[in-house]
Amino acid sequence: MYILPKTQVREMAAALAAEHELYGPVVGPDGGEPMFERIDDPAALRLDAAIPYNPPKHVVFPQSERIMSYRYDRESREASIVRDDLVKPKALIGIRACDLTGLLCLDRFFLGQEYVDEVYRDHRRKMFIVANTCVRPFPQCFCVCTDSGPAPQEGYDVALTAVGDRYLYEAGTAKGEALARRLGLEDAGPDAAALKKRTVDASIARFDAEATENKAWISRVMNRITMGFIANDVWEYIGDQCFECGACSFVCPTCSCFNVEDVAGPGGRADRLRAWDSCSFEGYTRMAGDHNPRKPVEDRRNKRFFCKLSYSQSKKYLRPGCVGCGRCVRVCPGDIGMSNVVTYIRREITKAGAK
Amino acid sequence: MIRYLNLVFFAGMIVMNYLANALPLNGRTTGELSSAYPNLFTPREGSGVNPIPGISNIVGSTDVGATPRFLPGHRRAEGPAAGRTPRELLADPASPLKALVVADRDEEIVRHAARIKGLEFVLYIGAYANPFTELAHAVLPAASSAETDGTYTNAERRIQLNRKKVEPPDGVRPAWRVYADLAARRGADWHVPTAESVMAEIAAAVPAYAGVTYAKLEKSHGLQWPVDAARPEGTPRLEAGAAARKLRFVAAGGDLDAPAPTADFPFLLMAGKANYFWHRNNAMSKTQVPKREYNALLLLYPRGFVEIAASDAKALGVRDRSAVDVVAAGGKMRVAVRISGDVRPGTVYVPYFIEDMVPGFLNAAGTSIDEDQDSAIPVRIEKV
Amino acid sequence: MSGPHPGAIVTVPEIAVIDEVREEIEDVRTFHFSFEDPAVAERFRIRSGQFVMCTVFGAGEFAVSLPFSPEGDRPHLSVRQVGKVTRALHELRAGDKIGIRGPFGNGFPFEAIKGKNVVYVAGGIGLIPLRSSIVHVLQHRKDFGRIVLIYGSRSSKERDGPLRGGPGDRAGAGGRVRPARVGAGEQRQAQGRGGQGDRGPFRACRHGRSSSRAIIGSLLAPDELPGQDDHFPNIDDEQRGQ
Repeated sequence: MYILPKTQVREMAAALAAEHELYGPVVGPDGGEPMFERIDDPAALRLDAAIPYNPPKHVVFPQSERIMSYRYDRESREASIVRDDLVKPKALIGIRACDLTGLLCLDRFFLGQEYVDEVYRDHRRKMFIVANTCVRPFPQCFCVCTDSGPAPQEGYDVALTAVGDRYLYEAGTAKGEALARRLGLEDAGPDAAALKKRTVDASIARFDAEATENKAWISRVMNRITMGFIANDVWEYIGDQCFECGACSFVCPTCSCFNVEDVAGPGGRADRLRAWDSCSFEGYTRMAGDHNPRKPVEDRRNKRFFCKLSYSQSKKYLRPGCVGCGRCVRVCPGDIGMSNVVTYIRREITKAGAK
Repeated sequence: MIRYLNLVFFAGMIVMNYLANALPLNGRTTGELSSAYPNLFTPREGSGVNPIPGISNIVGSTDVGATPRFLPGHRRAEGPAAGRTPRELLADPASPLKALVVADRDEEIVRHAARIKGLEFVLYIGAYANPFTELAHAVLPAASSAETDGTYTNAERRIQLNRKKVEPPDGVRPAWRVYADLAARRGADWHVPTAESVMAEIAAAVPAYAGVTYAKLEKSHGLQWPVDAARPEGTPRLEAGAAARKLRFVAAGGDLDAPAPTADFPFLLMAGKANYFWHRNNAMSKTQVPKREYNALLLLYPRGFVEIAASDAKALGVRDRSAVDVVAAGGKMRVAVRISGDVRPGTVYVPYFIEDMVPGFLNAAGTSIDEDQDSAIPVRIEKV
Repeated sequence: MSGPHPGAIVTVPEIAVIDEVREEIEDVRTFHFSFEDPAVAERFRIRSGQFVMCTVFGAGEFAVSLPFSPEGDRPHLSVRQVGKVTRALHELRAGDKIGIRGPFGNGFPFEAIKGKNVVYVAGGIGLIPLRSSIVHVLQHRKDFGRIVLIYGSRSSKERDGPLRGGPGDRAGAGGRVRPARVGAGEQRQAQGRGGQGDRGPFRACRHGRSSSRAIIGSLLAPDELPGQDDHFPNIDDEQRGQ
């Protein structure tokens, strides 16, 4: 492990900017919610900012993007398909443990199953990841319930842990080691691992007092959801509160559903766009010819929680699909974010047990 | 949910109508303000009555006098044409109207298509093509809200800055620039090089905006008017205790003239918004996922629908998606039934999501719409 | 390309030429196609039961099952026009181009059902996704027991369409037809009965509405019924593409 003085963070960002597009947490001039965004000026990076309002999902899976364009001339019957050029490698600086876990879930969905999605792969290729341990939780956090924080466990090139005016710099890959050498970082000495452990333990100990919003104690609920033991009226109760706005999916670090549309232009040209979609929309499962296997809103809602919490879906991510960031709780106008739904279901379990 | 929204829109319209008829806000004291807008005063933080208007920035456009009834700062307009809306002028065959400049088409104006076609000159200024552009002799494209700076004032008096996100297409200017350029052609120098300079002009003309600058707006989540020398950072809450007189809650309803159902027309029809359809649907129809939802709705109900409670549908002997005639005293239309838990028995709801519905039925049937009232129309439903 | 589908065209379609368009029944046409690039054609390997994403240029893309057998069959798609993209496809003629990516999905588990009797149950156009499997089974007649196809259609014309000609033609395969009438006003046909195998436990492949399963009961003797633990691959989920 190395020592990275906080004053040297900007230098690290500048070093990465030479070969990467930079992304990280920034805070607007009005001091509003931090956002995880493209950074042109390394000075804008704010590693001390609270958990960003949006997850870094858009870096690898933009809200809307052109995945190819084509031209077909019906007269000459000439067809051509063009993929956009490969993008410059990206560097994510200051990604939180929950969001890094979410990114790994996306990797398993887009790359780790039976097919490799080339568009995602191009966004993800040669990526440099500097993760940031949460040395204290934020009010909405419950990563301790989902095994995805507060310290990053895998998938990073560098993991930083703030201790006073410096960071413990832990290289997770040879690339991370090389950067440490390039920056001339001082070795953190033999006690660094113990210091990091104490820091992380202290962070976990603060959850009770500081992560004050509803927690999602998911383990027992996973069992109920997997076994289908949840009464339909519980889903109806949850479905009744859904506004079908899709916000939960859009702020979720692991939601990966998309819709594809060809937007035709003049001269037989068209762009193929891929955009975030959400299982909360009625049209999401509607087929041509109008059959919809999941028309009622409660069927769509239970699909979301099945996707996040059932064992069979966990095989896809090699973990639960929820990473405990608490964003869906914050954005949901109907109070059916993850931790609230888990609470409803646990309450039902308790009631059933009492009978 | 639609029922709930409808209620809110309804309340919004009442309050907005009330605002439109209230005393002018040329006074600057909270005392005068409280007699004009008692609903703006609240006894404590987090309480109060805020109308939810159906159109963004309707409060802001009234504040700056973009209405025939008022000058900037809610001073009542005077003179021969004052207080007559374009709609009234269009409806009055004796009015001396010769030309019309329309910015961002008002959908209800289309009902006067015949009169508009007879005008000497019609100019349309807007960001999107729509059926109104066909009535116009000339069309000047304007940048959309994403393509220019500007501000919105919302229902809680909050003036919010909107920054340009993308460049407008080649040759397309923001509407404020179009107006200034038109003025320049007629020899008037309005001198508004930027959107910010428009705000400087508003600050000079509207007392409640006197202290507003882009710099201040940029540093905040918006400022709530009045923003002036005494309250440079705005007025988050108008303290009820500071009102000139003691304020109390009053039951709404006295001025409300909702029609009653009759034996011939046993249902009350309300009309309003639909999911995934808003205004002329310019935004939705260009946004991938909402567009899909809208298209799917069209696929199911290509000619629109009327929402009916399940018990009423049963009594009428109609099923979901069966065609019915909705008959009002003034006209009728054929639409599909959509059985819904969102309407109460005895009421039916028609969302605007089909272009033809407004001129085809609501204009003919809804006399109340002429009076700017969002109201119910007695109808009967005939099985086809 | 990594993963267990090395030849699959995953994200960007390859261009294919429509060689022939054939009218089937009302609203259904068959489009024979071949890839423009011979190297792509060489790489493109399918398993029975898989599907592709078909791009109609300018209109969009849709998921469609593959009715042809992996071996000795002409690549084609049989498509009913139901929406925007399929309507645009129906406007195309021989010589027009389309885009194809895939194949996706898992295919039928022929190894697991080797030596067993096979019962196919389908209704209407739901037979098309099973055609590939039926043809494959007929091509490897020795490996399977009795083959029963229980098929519901609105008319005899519809019945004959999907398997007409080619290696799946029931006359060519030596099958016989036993028409049956089930339920008021509904016609259901059982056809394509091949040679006799031993009466081992049945395996059934299902496609179409779940009510089809009830029809199995009405047409088979009790000892021919598939058991609860038998294999019912749920193709519907995979065909949604996500």
